[in-house]
Amino acid sequence: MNRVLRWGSFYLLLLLIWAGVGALNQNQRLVLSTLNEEKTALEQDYNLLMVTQLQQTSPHRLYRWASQQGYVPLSQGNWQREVGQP
Amino acid sequence: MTQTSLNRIWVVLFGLVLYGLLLAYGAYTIVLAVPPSTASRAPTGPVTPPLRGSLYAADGTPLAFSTADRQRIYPLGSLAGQLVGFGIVSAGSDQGQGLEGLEGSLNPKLSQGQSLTLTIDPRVQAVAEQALWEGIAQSGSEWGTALVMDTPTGRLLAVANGPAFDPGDISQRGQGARWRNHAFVVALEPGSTVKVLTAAALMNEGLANLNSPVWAPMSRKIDRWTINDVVAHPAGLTLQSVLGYSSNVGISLLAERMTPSTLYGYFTRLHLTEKVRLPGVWSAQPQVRQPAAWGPAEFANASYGQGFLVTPLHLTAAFNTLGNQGRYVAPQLFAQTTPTPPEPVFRPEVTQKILTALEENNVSEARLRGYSLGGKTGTAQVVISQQYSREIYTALYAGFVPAQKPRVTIAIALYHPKGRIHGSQVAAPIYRNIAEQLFTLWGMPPGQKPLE
Repeated sequence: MNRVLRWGSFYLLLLLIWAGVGALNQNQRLVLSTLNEEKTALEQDYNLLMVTQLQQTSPHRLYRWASQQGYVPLSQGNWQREVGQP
Repeated sequence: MTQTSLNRIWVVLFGLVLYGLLLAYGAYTIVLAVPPSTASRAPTGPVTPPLRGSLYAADGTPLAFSTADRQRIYPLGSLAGQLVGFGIVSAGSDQGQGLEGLEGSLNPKLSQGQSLTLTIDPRVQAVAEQALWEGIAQSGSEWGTALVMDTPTGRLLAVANGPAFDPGDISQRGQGARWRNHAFVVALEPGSTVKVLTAAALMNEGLANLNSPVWAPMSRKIDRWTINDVVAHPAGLTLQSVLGYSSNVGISLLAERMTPSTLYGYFTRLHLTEKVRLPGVWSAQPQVRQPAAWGPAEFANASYGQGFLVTPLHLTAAFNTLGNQGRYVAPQLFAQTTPTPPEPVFRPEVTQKILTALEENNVSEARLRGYSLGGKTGTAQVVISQQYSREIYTALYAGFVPAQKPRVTIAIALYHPKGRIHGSQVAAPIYRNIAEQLFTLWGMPPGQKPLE
């Protein structure tokens, strides 16, 4: 009977380890899935931010801004101020 | 049976039940719901194709790229929209299919995931587009195109087309041909801009110089055709004043000092008779007949840019030769391309005299106080149904910035301007506008050398 108990305990220990590994894997899978979702969301955010940044700083937008500010076309007066002439 | 034995049986039974439950749970967690390991990531189904390659401007600005979910993004919208082109937006699994512009012509490379960097400078591109779009709106033109080429290297800094087209806006794809990269795929008669090339050929052959006199009335009959001049001028002209008055009669008379084959030979060396060498890029085949097929009228026509068709890209590269000390360099659109060696066409002293003449003769609409600008206007009738239209014209201007020691060569073409139709009226102001912005970009005040 002692032998049965010993082997039983051994099997039980193995099973606990097996189940523990399984549970860990489940947890990792959940974490991985969450991370993948976060990664996808971050990539979408990154793309959106990049596109927004590129649009906000696009040469056409910059040109319109410079035109509104009177920098282009660059008048002779502006040039003279730039190069420090009276 | 003793009490101890009964307790042991319950322990054993409990152990067996627990064994069964844990075995089932363990089997489920490890066998059925196991997280993917690196060893199990070997592809078992069809291989996922790589993301479609990106297109970048010379400074690394993305012009087109694909997201992980395979959406195609054109972040700068209409900037170089026609050059970049568009394709079918892929729905999740495939690579998409480029249809127009570089998206179409470079589809084999892009669909393999290969990214390409263009020579396009976004700032120069924006400057050219703004000027072109304003010019198109003011002239009522159907469409237009403007090219800016780096003179020493032939690198295309801007390939602008108008009206504006945003490849990301699907609704614009059905609006006429605003999506077309006219600069590369539309062949036009270059008109009077070619007179400069004819003059350079005459001077290079030693058959004329800028002071060579020619008796040029306002019209001339050749065979059954009459050649007319538009700008009133005295009959006694020189080659320089022929260019200044843009006299068809004068240049056709002077051109007769050389043979048609000689002129055609220059066209060939300027690569006006073959497709532009831009591998993998769609461009139109020029339509230039062999000199054997030229009669006197066709020869005269060729001397002032009529009777043959070239793309604005051809015209830009040919003109660039004049600004590059007489050496032809093939246009470049890709940063990685190894430049082809320059091919001498004209002697440097000839092109220097031509540049000076162009600056002196420059029309007022293309002048900018304090700066050296020069170029040549052109106004060409358009052939509709095998004959020249009396309503549809192409207005052109090709020139250099600055006119002396050019940094860039610029060519403008406007198709079907309304009201004012002449190159000097509608195309030259676009050139001036681009030049003005370029001087600003380069930090070049009037009357001074560029700031370091």
